[in-house]
Amino acid sequence: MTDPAPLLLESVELTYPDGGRRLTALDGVSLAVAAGELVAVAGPSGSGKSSLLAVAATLLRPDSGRVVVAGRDTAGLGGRDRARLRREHVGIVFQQANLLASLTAVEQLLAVEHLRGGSVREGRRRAEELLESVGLGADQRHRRPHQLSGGERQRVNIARALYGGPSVLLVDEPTSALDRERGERVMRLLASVTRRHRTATVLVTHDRPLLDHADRVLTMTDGRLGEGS
Amino acid sequence: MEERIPLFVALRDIRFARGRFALMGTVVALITTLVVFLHGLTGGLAGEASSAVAGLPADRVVFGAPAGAAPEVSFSRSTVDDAALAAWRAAPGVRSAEPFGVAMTRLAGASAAVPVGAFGGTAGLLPPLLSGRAPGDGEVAVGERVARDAGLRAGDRVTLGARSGVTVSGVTADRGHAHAPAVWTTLATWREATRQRQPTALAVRGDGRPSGEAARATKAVGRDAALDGIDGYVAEHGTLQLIQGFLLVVSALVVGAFFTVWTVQRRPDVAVLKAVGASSGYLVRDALAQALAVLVAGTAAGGAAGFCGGWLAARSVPFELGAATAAVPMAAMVLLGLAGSALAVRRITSVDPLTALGASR
Repeated sequence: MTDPAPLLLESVELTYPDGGRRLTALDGVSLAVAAGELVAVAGPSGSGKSSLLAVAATLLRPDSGRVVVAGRDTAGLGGRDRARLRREHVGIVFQQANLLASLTAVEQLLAVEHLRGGSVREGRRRAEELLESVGLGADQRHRRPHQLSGGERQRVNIARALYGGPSVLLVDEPTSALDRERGERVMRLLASVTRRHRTATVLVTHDRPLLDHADRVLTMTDGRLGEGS
Repeated sequence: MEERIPLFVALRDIRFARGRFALMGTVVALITTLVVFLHGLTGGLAGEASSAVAGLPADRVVFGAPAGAAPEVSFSRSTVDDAALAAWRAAPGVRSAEPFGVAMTRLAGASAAVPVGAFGGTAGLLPPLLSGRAPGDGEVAVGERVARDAGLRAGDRVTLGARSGVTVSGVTADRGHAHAPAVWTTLATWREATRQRQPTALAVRGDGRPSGEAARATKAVGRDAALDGIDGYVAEHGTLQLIQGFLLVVSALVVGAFFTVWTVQRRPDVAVLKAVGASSGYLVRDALAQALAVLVAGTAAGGAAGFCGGWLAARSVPFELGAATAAVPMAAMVLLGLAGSALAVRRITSVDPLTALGASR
């Protein structure tokens, strides 16, 4: 018997108000992502990729359909429970690194430890190891975001998303702020951490040359999800 | 697990934006200095204006009025006749009723003359004697300050108001009335010195009251409420307290404004923290802990400065402040500042974590 997919979306519909009518962002989207699988979702701007990510991250409630994260149906969860679910099972790699300006690279991860209720002192070693594993040198780990390069910030962003040991990793346009070479390296890293950490990873991008690293490539068009690039 | 005091991000924010937080802490400290200084000044002025009445050994003070007039809580207008005195002494529940006179006059010694609040009554109303003895008829007991300023000691002869040839019987602890030092004599000598025929009021112990005409012709109030009967006391005390109140409100508004701007600046960080799983409660507690840290540090520094300033100023102005009394305005600063911050940081609850995913979608 196979393990249930850590991320499961079934017939998800999502609409936004748009003047007097409603705009369809997700139109009957179904998706199952297995542990250790990297699924890339490509598509033009406004096609619904980011809405898909927001629904999977429990930041948006769909109008209908099921969203199951780490075996838990999110339909009946309130704000507090959804926050806990994100804390414990979901890692988000933001498009812009979105690091907190006042924290060093290590502290970005320790902040996650703190809001999970863990010991910051004990978490420090794990944070250092994780930063090392994404290729951040010892010198960079105690620098603040403005002292890091774009690629280094993105590595911290990825390490922060992985820190809580998530079963679902959601990645939003990770290479948009990077040049070709750095983008390529970040994609290799994401593919590597997906295997190593056994996360169900969904990556949305419009950077088609980077899709080679994905196990599966899906295309989003007008809110509909289809196979192939 | 998430319910513990946050402060992880809060303290690092303070360290990172130390200039802005230092500026805010300095503003809090300056306002606290002013509030503490005013509080000490209020205490000092209150002592000079009311310590003689506040120190009377009485539960209540009974004011009277001339025939046909309504009694008022006023030492300058009150007068109590023999009938009222007898009625109060006979009233059930009243353990004692001592008549006493109060009037502003002048005490002149051989080398100096000083304005004084002259009290006439029994020896039982006297503040603690430091030297000499309680005054008899034709004698007066003066406070330490009067003795020092006028160069007096027991046995010296002075003129008290219209009565000359009064002998200083002793020196008491300092008491004040209407910003003049209080001196104490018998009711008979007080009448001669002030040319008053009736005592001003009664110092009453016990909780009973007379009935009939004596009840209508007199008004009894608690000793603290009797302070309002000192000329200018209510206006002066009220004004100083109003200024303190305004300062506290200004402080709360300034702190609230600072944290409103700070919270607006932090919205992207708050959105990210919410997206990675922080609850609104955690973030509000984090922000309030940050405000509390700034308020406590600023208030402590300002309180210490207020104490030092007051200690220096006490040589030339009336200043009275203890640790317990200073704690009141300092606690008010912290609590009102926290209330202002709470209004500001409630905006955290409305931050949408979705914005952390970018504005382009």
